[in-house]
Amino acid sequence: METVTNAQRFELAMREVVEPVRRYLARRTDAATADDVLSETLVVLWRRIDDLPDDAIAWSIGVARLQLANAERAQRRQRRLFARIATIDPPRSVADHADSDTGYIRDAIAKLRPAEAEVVRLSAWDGLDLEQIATALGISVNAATIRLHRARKKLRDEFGKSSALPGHTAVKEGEHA
Amino acid sequence: MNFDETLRKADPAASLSPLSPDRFERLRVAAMTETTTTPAPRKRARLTFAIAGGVAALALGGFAVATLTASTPPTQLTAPAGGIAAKCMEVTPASFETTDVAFKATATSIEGDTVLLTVTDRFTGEVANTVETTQGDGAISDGGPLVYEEGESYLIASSDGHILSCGISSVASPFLEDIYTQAFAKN
Repeated sequence: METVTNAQRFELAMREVVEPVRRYLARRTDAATADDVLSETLVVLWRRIDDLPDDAIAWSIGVARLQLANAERAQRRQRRLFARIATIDPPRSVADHADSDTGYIRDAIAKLRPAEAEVVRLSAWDGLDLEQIATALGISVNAATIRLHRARKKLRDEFGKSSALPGHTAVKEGEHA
Repeated sequence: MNFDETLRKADPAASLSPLSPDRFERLRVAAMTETTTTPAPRKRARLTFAIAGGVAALALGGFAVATLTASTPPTQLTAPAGGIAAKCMEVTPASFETTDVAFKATATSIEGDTVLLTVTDRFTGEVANTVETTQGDGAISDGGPLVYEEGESYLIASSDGHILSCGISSVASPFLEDIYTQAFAKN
């Protein structure tokens, strides 16, 4: 067939975005929620295949982010609802800390303001540049730049004063975001 | 280790293995079948034709019954060519974009290369009570002609008189019938 069908465009787009989105979700939620939100994100991708921007990855991560926020809101509602039988729902382990170093860094990021933590994760873990971060978060590139700069400075300060982070004496000061 | 490497090192998804091809396919099919509204506005127009076709088929019903055992000429459908260019994708309701005739039929006689199918159910388009097509030789796995077996039931979709391959037309299964039903259901 000569013309590219929507189904073919969807498959191509999905090949491009599925791993970045999966990883985005794996970094932020439990496996079951990640699976659900990935499916929902792909449904949106299929529905919106005609309006897909050039940067499908950043756009899809932006969709996944909103879907995840919805899912977490629903989960919070559910948790409140079942609070009285909370014993059957033990708190899930927050992070599988492979070593104390990794755990310390994740905790340090988590201790930032949520919006700052998110730009650090998007930059360091999801590998997005400032323009992509802006797309994913629906903010201006300028706002993303400032937010990331501030967050990184806070982290550098935290790492600098910490003795709990072995082998990080070489963490450089004064880097640009 | 510089600051960025320090941060990257704490990536919780670093050891996440890639999605298996099987899971990828399941996700793809699920996403495309989850929606009741497809992204292509032109599909609605096509559906209108499909419904119009259905109405026409109903109108012809009385006539068809009258000539059931007599001499309604079988619909002639050409088998797909297959080959290298026919790289198959998973079948979804969206695979039927070009379909003008879709039906369920049983292979009632196979003589040499000629297969006669008896239509048992119609999804869209006009089709006689019998359909004649060519037997496949099974030499091409991707997109080649179907290899029919007498007594077996098939779901067949065609476009411009050509049977669509790549699993779109295949041995009838509940899974494929579901997809046919969804593809030709009123949206």
